[in-house]
Amino acid sequence: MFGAFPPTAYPRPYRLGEALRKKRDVSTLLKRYVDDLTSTQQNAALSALTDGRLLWDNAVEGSASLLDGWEKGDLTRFFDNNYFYRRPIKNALKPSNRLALELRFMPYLNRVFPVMGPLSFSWLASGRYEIDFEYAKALASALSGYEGYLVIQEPSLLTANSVNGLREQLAESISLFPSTAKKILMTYFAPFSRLYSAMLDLPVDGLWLDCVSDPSWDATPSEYGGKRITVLGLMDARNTKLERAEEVAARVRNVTLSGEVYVAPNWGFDIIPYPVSKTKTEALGRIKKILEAS
Amino acid sequence: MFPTSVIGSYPKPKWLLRTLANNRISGEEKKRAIDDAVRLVLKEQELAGIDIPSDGEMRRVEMTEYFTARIGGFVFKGPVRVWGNNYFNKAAVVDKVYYKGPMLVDEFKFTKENTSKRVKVPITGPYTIADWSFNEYYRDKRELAGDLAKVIRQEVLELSKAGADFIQIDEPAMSTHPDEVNWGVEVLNEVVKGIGGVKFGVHICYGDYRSLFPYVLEAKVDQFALEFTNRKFRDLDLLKEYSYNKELGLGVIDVHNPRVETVQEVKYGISQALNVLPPDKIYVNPDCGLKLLSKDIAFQKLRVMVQGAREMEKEATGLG
Repeated sequence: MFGAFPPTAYPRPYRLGEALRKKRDVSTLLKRYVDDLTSTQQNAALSALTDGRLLWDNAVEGSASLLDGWEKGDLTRFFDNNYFYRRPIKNALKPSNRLALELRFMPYLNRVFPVMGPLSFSWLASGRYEIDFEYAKALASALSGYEGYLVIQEPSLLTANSVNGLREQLAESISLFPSTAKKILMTYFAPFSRLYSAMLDLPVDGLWLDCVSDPSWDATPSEYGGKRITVLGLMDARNTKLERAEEVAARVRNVTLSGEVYVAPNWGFDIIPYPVSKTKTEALGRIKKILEAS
Repeated sequence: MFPTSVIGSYPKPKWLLRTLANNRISGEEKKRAIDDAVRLVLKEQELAGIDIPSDGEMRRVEMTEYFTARIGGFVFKGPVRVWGNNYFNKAAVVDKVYYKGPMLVDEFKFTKENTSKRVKVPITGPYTIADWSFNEYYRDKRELAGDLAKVIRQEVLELSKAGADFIQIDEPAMSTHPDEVNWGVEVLNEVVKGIGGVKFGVHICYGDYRSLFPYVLEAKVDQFALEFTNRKFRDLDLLKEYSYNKELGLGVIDVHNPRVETVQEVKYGISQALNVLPPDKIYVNPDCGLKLLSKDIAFQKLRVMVQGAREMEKEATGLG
C-alpha cells in the first residue's frame, strides 16, 4: 500500500513570527495558517495530517515544552543547519498536561506528532550520546493515551560513533512511550544504511528514512525488508528545488517492501519558505497519485 | 598590543529602522539616513576606544542576503527562520552565478572618509553563501562555492584597488560540515590568491571548531577571528594542540547575552589566549556581530572590552 506523509513541521510564516515577536495575540492568525496547511494537505490527499507545529520554535524545545522543570540555555546550531535552538537545561523534569492543548488542531487518528527521542535529546541538550531516561519517562507520561502516529526523532543515532549498548537502552526507552500510538522512528541528516538492520530490531511500528542524505539507500530496505510502516524521505526538506513526481515515484517502485510505504520529506519543512512548503506538499500529493495508479 | 576591533555588525538605531520601514520616505532620504547611521556608529566605536572599526553593516540586512541580492544567478523565494522569530530572506541559485559590479566599494569609501582609523571590511565568503542558499542549479555545493569564489575575489580586488587593507571573510558555515572543510579552505584560498597589501581575516562562529583542524592551517590568510566567550575559552586548547601560529581575533564578548561582561572577564580571556600565542598575535574582538544587542548594551560591552585590553597591555608591558 502506498501513501504520502506530511513533513514533521511546516515553516512558521513570517507574519505569524512577527506577531509572536511583538507579543500580540496570535490565536486568529494561527488558526488561519493551520486551516491553510490542513486544506493544502487534504487537497493533496496526504495519508496523515499535521497542524504544522507552527508555535514550536524547533523540535527540541517543542518536545521539552510538554514537560516542566527545564529552562532555556545557550543558542546552539541544530546539526549542520543555519538554524538554531536554545539548549534545554534540565532541573527536574516532570510531565505537563499540555498535550490536549497541543493537539487541539489535529485530527483524531491520522495525525503526525513529532517528538525528539531520548538519545537525540541528550545529545542536543548536553552533548552526550546517552539515553536520557529521565526525559523519556517524563515525555512518555506526558504523551499518555496519545493515539495517532508518534514520530520519535533520533538523528543522533546516525552520528554516534558507536551504538553498542545504546541500542538496548534506546529500545527500552522507546518501550516507555504509549502503546496506543503508532511509533515511527525517524533519523535524518546522515546515511542510515549501516544501521538499518539494527533499527529494524527496535520496538517501533515503522521507520522514517532520510533517503536524500543516503544516495545508495535503495538497496538496503530491499535486502533487509522493512517494518510494518516505512516512510521514505525522498523529498529534500532543506532545498527549494522541486522534485519531479515521476522520478520520485519511480524510485519508490524500485524498492521491494511489503506493508505500508509512504513517501515524505526527509525532515520538517522548518527552513524553507512557507509558499515553497505548500508547493512541495502538492508535489507529495502528485507522487502519491502516481504510485496509487501503478 | 592587543588591538581592538569588531566582527562587523552593530545594532541599527531605532530611528534608522523606522526610516527604512517607511514607504513614504524616498530612497535618497533613506540613503542619507544610512550615511548618518554609519557616522554615528563610527563615533560610538571611537568613543568606546575601538582601534579598527567597521561601518556596523548599516547597509546590510543580513550577511548572505545582502550579497545574493547583488550577485547574478540568485532569486529570493521568501523568508526563512533562523531561530525564534528571526528570519532572513534566503535566496535560491537558479542560474550560473556572475559578478554584476561592486558591492562594498562605496560603503568602504564612505566609511574611510568618516574615520581616521584603519577600517575592517567584512565580506561573506563563498562557502557560506553557497551553504546558506538553496541550490536549484549547480550539481553540488562545491561547484557553486567555486564559482562564488570568483565573484567574491573580484569584489576583494575592487576593494583593494579602493584602498581597503583589512578584509575579513565571514565563513560561519565552514565549521558546520566537517567533511567539507578541506575544500572549503581551497575555495577560500582562491579568493585571496596573490592579492598583496591586504590583511585577510576569516571569521567563523557557532560550530565545531575541532572540525576545522588541521585544514584551516592551510588557509592563506593572516588572522582567524573566532568566538570564545560563548564556549568558555575551551577551544583555545585546540589552537595549542595544532601549533596554530596565525594572528587570532579573540572573541571576549558574548553577543547573545545582554549581560555586560566585567573588565576582569575580558582580561581572563586574554590571559587564556596568552597561554597559546604571543601578545603580538592577539587581536581582541566580540564573539560575533553585535547587531542583536541593544545599542546601549553593545556600546557598554565594547567599552569594557577595550578597557580590559588596555589593562592587559599595561600589565604585559610592565606598566600596569
